[in-house]
Amino acid sequence: MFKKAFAAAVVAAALIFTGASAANAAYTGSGNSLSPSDSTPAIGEAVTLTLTVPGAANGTAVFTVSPASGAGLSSIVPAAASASTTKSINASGVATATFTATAAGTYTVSTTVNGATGPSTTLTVSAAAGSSLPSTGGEFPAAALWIGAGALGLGALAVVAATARRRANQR
Amino acid sequence: MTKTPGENPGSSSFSGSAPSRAYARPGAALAIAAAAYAVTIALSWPGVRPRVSAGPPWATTLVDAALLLGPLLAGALLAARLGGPAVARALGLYSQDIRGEGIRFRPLDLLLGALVALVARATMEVASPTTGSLRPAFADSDADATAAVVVSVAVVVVLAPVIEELFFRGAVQRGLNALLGRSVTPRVAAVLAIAVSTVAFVMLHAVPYGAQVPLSVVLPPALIGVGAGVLTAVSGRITAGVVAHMLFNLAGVVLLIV
Repeated sequence: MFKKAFAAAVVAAALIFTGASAANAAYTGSGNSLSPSDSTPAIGEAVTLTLTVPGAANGTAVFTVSPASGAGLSSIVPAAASASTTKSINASGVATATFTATAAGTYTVSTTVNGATGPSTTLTVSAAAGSSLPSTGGEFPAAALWIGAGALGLGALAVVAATARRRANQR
Repeated sequence: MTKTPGENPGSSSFSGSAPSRAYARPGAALAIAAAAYAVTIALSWPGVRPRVSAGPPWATTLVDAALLLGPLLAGALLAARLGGPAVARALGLYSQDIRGEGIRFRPLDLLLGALVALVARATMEVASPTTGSLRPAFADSDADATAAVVVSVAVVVVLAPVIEELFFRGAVQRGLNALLGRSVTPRVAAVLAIAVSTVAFVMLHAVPYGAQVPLSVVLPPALIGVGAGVLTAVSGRITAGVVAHMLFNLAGVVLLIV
C-alpha cells in the first residue's frame, strides 16, 4: 500500500515538474524569430511584426513594447493602456501584430509564447523626414508659459477666496 | 444653480463654516470604503493586475476601467448607503446653505475647479512635462486606434474623475471628516481627512509601478488630491473637485493629442 502510494507520488511529481519545465521552455532558439517589416520606421509608420514559433502552433503569443507611452494624468485607468496585445498563433506557428510608434526613440518588442519567453526585437524610430515646420522665430520655453499660467491661476484663486470670505463675513 | 430641499441647516457653501455632518455612521462607511480600496489595490498589484490585452485596444481600456473603477463606485455608494442617512448628501453631491436649502452646483464651482486645474496642470508641466500619446502601441487598423482614443478620452476625462471623486472625496474624505470631527477641531479634522484621502489616492496610482514610481505618476494625484480635497472641504460638496479633476485630465489629454 505504501509502495503504491509512493510510486503514485513519484509519478505525479514527475508529471508536475515535467509540465512545469515544458511550460517554462523558452522559444528563443533557432527557428524561432520575431521579424519587423521595417526595423527603422518613421513616427506614425505601421510596422508589422511577424512572430515565427513552429513549436507553438495554435498557441497564444503576447507582444509587449517597452517603453510604453505614459501620460501625466490623474486617473487610475491609463490613457493608453495597450502596451501589449495578445494574438493567436496559427497552425504554421506564425502570429502577427501591428505596432505604431508615436514618438522617436528605441523600442524593444518582446514576446511571450504560451507563457514562456519568446523572441524579441528592437526598433529604432526616427522623426519623419520633413515632418517639422521650419523655425520662423525665437523659441519660447514651454516651462515659462506654464509658470505664468500657474501664477495667474494662483492669483485668481486668491482673489476669489478673499471675495468669498468677505461676502461670508458680511452675512 | 440647482437647489434641492435641505435637511439640516448650517453646512457651508464656500463660506468655510461648519464641518460636514453627512455621515451618521462614519465608521461603517469607512470600513466599506477600506474594503473596496483593498480590492482595487489587489487588482492593481503588479503581476496580479488581470491581463486584458486580448481583443481590440478600445475593449482593453473598457475592461481595465470596469475592473479598477467598479469596486470604487460600488464602495462609494455602499459606504454612503450604510453610513448615511442619505446617499447624495453623504457623498457631497449637494451642500446646504444657511437657510438649509440644498445646492448642487454654482458657477463658482466651475470657476474654482478650473483655477485649481490650471494651477495643478501648470505645476505638473513644469515639474514633469506630459509626453506620450493616446494612440495605443498595438492596433490592427486606424479604425481600431481611433476607437481606442475615443474610449480613452471618455474614461479618463469623464468616467474616472467622477468615480474617483465620489470615492476619495465623497466617501473617504467626508467619512474621515465626520469621524475625526467628533474628537478634534473641525479644521484639524478637515486637514487630516484631506491628507489621508490624498495619500490613499496617490498610493492607488503608484501600486502598479512596483518599487520604482516615477514623479509623473505621483504628482498628478497628489496635486488633484489636495486641490479637490480643499474644494470639497470648503464647499461641503464634491462638484468643484470633480470639475478640477476633469479639467486637469482634459488638459493632459489635449497635450497628448496636439
